[in-house]
Order: sequence, then structure tokens, then C-alpha cells
Amino acid sequence: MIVDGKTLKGGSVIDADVCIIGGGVAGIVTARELLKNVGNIVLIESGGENYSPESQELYSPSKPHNSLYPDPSHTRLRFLGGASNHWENNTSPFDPIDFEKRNWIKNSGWPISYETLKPYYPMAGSYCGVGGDGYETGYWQNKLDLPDITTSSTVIGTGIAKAAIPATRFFHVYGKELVSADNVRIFTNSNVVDVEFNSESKKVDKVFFESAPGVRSEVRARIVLMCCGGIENARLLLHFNKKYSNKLGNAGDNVGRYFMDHPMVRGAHFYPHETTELPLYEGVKLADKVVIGFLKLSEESLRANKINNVRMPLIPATNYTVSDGISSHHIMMDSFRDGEVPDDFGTHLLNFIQDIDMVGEAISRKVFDTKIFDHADEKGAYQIAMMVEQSPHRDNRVTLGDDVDRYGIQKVKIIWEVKEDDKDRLWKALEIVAQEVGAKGLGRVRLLKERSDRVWGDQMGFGHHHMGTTRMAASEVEGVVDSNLKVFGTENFYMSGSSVFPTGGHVPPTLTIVALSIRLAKLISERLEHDQ
Amino acid sequence: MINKYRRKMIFASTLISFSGVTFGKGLPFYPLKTKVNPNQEFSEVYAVWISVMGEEPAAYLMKKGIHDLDNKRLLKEMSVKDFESGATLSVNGFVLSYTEAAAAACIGSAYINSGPFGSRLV
Repeated sequence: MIVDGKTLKGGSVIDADVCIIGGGVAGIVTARELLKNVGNIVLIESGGENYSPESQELYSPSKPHNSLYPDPSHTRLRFLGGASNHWENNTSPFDPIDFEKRNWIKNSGWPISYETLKPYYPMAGSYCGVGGDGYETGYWQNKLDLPDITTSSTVIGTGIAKAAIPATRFFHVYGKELVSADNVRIFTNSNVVDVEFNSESKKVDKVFFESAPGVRSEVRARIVLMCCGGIENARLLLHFNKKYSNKLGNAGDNVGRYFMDHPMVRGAHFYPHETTELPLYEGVKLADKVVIGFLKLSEESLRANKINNVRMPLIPATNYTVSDGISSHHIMMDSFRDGEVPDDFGTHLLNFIQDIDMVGEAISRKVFDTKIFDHADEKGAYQIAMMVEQSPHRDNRVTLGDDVDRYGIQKVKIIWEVKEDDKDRLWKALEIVAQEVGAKGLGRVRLLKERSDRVWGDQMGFGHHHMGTTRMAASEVEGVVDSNLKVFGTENFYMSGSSVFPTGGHVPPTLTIVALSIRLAKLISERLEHDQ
Repeated sequence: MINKYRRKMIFASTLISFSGVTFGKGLPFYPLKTKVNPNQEFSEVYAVWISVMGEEPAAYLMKKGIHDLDNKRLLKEMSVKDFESGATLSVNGFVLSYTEAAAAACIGSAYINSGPFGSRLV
């Protein structure tokens, strides 16, 4: 059933076997997996069943916000279903190498291997609405009868992404089952504000939540699980630890650190040979999903060249979208605004003049909302739009800022940047791809390194995948949760979601979040059964 | 209206296939025949080539045993070997094999030398 927290008058005491904090993807999947084996489940959600500005406002960061990172106020959604209410449903599994300790990526290495999660990926695919038929390139190449242009290469390969049609909104799809279950109670409009931690038993005995400032109730549970997302998990854990002297997983000062996202970088153009067939890479629409191929580097190549993993979809591009003149215009204007003349001013001026039709098109579209030239929309090349695996750096972090929300909890402050070594490795990856594309006669690649400032600046996009802030590790010196996602220093306190990822891989995280959550539910069920 | 991007497309596709480039036989590289109008992109290749490699592109190709740019099969073979061994040159971001860059630079050299008042192109 659903209980609106606003109907509680405060002072309520709720007992549960498992208390799940957060009704997003991880929380919903874990609750649904626990249904069969656990007698009494409570799920606490800050928002309601739909979007509300009042709830969403609690995600706003402390001011001033870091200009290098997008304001996280609306990149997450604070109501049942969480970010699945606006995701694109783009799914792919991590590669085996993503879990490994790679000596060229400091702080890399998961305490579990790909093999640990592999059994859970098919079910995770079903949860995401894309089926359990996997992501094996050969399978999809045969099934769709479309060529994989990388089959003869040991340097590059083709990965498969799948997206459900329509996108799976997790509460919309799985909520009814939870709401109708006798052993699940969902408390909405209920904001967790504190926990009570017993330092002798090392258990979180109580979870306190408020439906309005000061209107407080509590949950007493055998197991407490936080599934609030990559930023909020860290924020709440830092908040709890103020009272408990960092005993909740923060002995190594790791909570909030190693914050990662997936920078989205359009760093190159691909000019295919006329015989190169790319329909697999442009996407195939099936009855219930879209299947799309993307270029990637082989694990052998990643190892040999010591580079981070990277996903390289090929995006059909028009004359307009890859215009040098428009790009040079932006570079010149940015410099002029700062009272400077840009480097390579002559080249930019020449680009501007030679590409004046596309500059005129841009002005017309922006100012008059009118298109002028038909050839602006002609396709000729592909943008290589990379999802970059960001290395986990300790000084990229989520911490607590000076501002507080209406429940008295400090808002987040985000310190984040892309380090130069990650940029260098990306360019290296592109050079390797360019050479292999040439060697295999697939076409030619043009790197946009000369406009690196823009590629990594105002043209850079984000996956808005918040990862790494309560990282999984072998010990509390290196991380926040253990390989079973139990918070170090505690006996009954768990975390799930992308906050536990030690590294972020090269693909969107949701499929792996779901796989981890299914596994965690199994571990919790086994533990509860064992304890009885 | 000039569109640099479309010219780059032509430039790229020319390099991919060498299909539009032929050279006179007997006197390698000069006098030069070409079906493609030598243009600014190719002269850019020449400038980068000289700056990075420090020798005339024709001399480079001859050292590699390429005396006839009509021999597309040999050019492609050499080009593939270049890509496989990482023998590449970046020109305005385009990653080109040494062989194709040298060939393009030869055309660029002809373009630079032709000028508005006379042409070495035949």
C-alpha cells in the first residue's frame, strides 16, 4: 500500500524487516526482488507519485554552484520512479575490463568481477524493458542481418545498445505490484533526515523521516538500504556521519569522493567509404525496442595503449551540425568577449568566411526560427559522439555546502572537472580508431583536436550519471561499501545505485544498477533467512 | 556559395579512394595530370607535410618505390601498411597515411606552383 507521509501526525513508529530509502530504479528493483522472501518491507520516498516542485526543490545545490558541472536540480527526479521518469532507456552491460584494476587508471578496480554480475544482466535487461536476449554483437548482427564493420579488426569492435519503446518508467511498470503486495508499505512525501546508529551492535536501529519540517516518524528495521542516487546517497551519509564521527563508512574519508560522470564528447568526424554499410550503427527499430551498434576499442587495444574505455556511437551529421564556420564563430566570439584574440585567428576567420552560408543559416535559425539552405540538412559524415569513462579522482567530490534545505540538511556542493590525463587518453583512443578505420578501408576520421577547448568546454555534454561517491572496495581505507554493498563499520546498513561504482565504465549505468540491485536483494534475502 | 565542409567531404573521399587522381607516366609527378582540381586543402597537406617530414613528398614516394601514382593498387597497399604501423599524419584533423598524404601533398605542391599566371599542370 501507499501511505502519504503527510497524513502522519508525527511520532509514528513503523517496524520492518527491510527499510529501503529511495523509490528510484534501485529501490524499486530491490523491493520487488525482496517481495517473495521478506515479510515486511518499507520503502520511504521523499516525493510522491508525480513530480512536484516542492519535493524537487530539495535537490537544489548549495550556492554558488560549480560552473564546470551541470546544476543537478533537475537532472534527477525526486518522486517514485526517480530518474527513470526521464531517462532515454539506453542500456548496455559493462565490459569485463571495466571491473579490473588497470594500472594506468589510478583508483580503478572493483572488488567483484564481471563474472559476478554476468548472471544478473539478462534479468536486468528484462527489468529495463529491453528483453533478456543480451548484447552479443554476433547475435544481433545475425538476427538483424546487418554487417558489423569491425569483424576483421582486433583493434576496434562493435558494442550493442538497446532502448525500450516506450522508455520504462519503473514505478509506472512495477509500482502496481508493490502497491498491491501485502508485505510492502510505501511512504511518500517522507524525507529521511537522520538515523540512529548503535556503535556497539554496529547497526542502524532507526531511520527518522519527516513529512514536514518537525513532523517526525521513525522506522525500526533489521536491514536498512539507501538507494537515493549518486549524489544524494553521499549527501545523506555525510549528514549522518556528522553525528557519528564518520563511523558509517567514512573511516577512510571516502564518502562523496571519486565523483564521476560520463562526459559526452563529439571529438571527431567519420567519413565512411562508399562501400561501408552503417545501418546497424544508425539503429534498428523493432517492435519493442531500438537496437544500435556503436564503435569501441577492443580490450586488447585498451590494455596495449593504456587508455580508458570509451563508447563511440556514430551520429549522422548534417552540413549544419559539423560546420567549421559556426564553430569558429563561437570561438572568436568567446575570445572577443574576454577581450582577447583567439589562437589561430586567421584560420577561424577563414573558416567563418568560407562557411558563411552555414553561419547565415545559424543566425536565421536562431533569430528568425527559419531555415534558409536545403543543403544545411544534407547528411555527409558522422559525428563520433563519445561517452568517456572518467577516471576516479579523489578530489572530484560531492560535499556539504553552506546552504541548508527546509529540513535543516546541508545542500550539496560539487567539485568536479575533467582531468588532462583523461582528455589525452581520449585523443589517443581517437587516433587509434582513425588509424584502424584507415587500415580496414572503412573511411577516414577527422579529429577535432584543434578545437579541444570547445569540445571539452561548451560543446561537451553529460550523461548525468552520478557515480562513485560511496564506492565499493575491499577495505574501508579504499571505499565506503564492501563487495556485498554493506557500509563499512556497520552490520545492517547497505547502499545500492551507481554511487557504489568504483569506476564508471563506458556505457550508461542503469542496467548495471539493476543487476547490482537484483544481486543485493538475493544477498539480503539469504542473510535474513540465515539470521532467522 | 562556398561551403568548406562540402569541400572537405570531397577532399576526404578523394583520399579514401584515390579514384580521382591520375598522374602522367614516364615523368613521375611532374608534369602532373589530375582530374581533381588542386585546391587549398591539398596545399594545406603540402604545407603540413613539409613542416613535419622536411622533405619533398615526391622524393618520399620515390624512396618508397612509388614511381607512378596511377598504380592505385600499390598506393592502397602502402596506405594500409602505413595505417597499420601508425605512419600517419594529421592535416587539419584528418588522419592520413603517409602515402596518401604524400600523394595529396604532390597535388598541393602543383597548386602552389601554378599560381594565377601560369600552370605547371598539363
